[in-house]
Amino acid sequence: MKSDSIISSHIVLTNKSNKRRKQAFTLIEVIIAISILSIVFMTAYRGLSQIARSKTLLDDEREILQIANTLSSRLSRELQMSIKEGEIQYPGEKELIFKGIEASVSGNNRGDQIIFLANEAGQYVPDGQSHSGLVTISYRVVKDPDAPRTDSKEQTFLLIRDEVPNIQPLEDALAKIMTFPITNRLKSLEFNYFNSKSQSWQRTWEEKELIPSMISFKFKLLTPLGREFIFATAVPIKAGVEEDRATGVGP
Amino acid sequence: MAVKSKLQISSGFTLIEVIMAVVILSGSLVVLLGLQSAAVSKALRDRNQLKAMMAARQILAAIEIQSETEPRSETETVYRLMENLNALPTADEELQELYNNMNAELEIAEWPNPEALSALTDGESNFLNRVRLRIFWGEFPDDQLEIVYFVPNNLGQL
Repeated sequence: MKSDSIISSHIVLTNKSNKRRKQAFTLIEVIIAISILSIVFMTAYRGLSQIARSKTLLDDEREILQIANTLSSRLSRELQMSIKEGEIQYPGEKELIFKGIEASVSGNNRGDQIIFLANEAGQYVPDGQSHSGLVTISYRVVKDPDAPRTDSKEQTFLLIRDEVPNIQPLEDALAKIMTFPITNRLKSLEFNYFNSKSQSWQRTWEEKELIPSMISFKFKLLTPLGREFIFATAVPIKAGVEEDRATGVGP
Repeated sequence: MAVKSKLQISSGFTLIEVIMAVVILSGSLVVLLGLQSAAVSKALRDRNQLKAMMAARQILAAIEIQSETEPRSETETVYRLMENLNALPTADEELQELYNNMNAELEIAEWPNPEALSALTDGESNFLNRVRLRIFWGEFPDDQLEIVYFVPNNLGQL
């Protein structure tokens, strides 16, 4: 009698729980769950896509930062090695130690050229002979035949570096000229020169027997996505400081 | 007995299990997002550092060349400081925008002559100036670049 009742109560219990299990969600519950989920997903998606976008932009920018860093440290290093004795060896240029030419590439953008004598110790000359470390270096901006290279279809320019070893005569030196592009992402390049005699800035340089004491340069680069970045800095040039101030031989 | 075990197999997750799963999932999402945003802010800091470095070079070049070495101390925006030091060839809106939100603290002070050089300098005036340049932006202590530099206070005294 006792065991009978236990069995019967067990059956009742399982029946009840079985019934509960089979109960489905109501429509309201499902709607609430779906709307909560969709709000959560929407927020997550917005955040993720924002992050993905900023990552694309940063990757785009990083390349330009690398180029800008390389370019500005290379220009600074070479300009600081410029010397004030001698004569530049470059096609069409004579009797100057330092030349800055102002040029315009498109609209307000400048594409200046600079030609200077520098002491590049340990330079490579492709004939295997040894030469002095003195070279004429030139930076110039030329049209890129393969442009545009960016998504924005904007015109970019090539920055070309020439290096002419200090050999006489000029024909022999030009036979050993080394020319290569530094970057193809240039939009503009601008040089300004500080004259230590007149204590003022100039846009061009054609002084004889004097080189600038400070050179500021500003360049714009275009990223692969076509965004424009500006970089600017200045370098002091010891050899360009006036004689009496640099050596202490006063007037 | 057979009925009971069948029931157990088909039972769903408990609330605790679901909560734990959700917590683990959201924890890993938060970590991933945090990594991404850390990378983003590092890259941003890189860019600002490069900008500050170029600005510092320009300011120090002007100080070095123009023997602008009177003891002084000023806090300005980077662009205004460049103007004050004649480090800018012309007024330049693009540069003003580039250095937007960057401030500079410049301090030029006399630096005592070292003992060993007292014979050369007659124990008189000091010949070196100490230049301390701090460029700062943003609100974090990391958002700055500090450079200490020495320049002759009167070119050619030695």
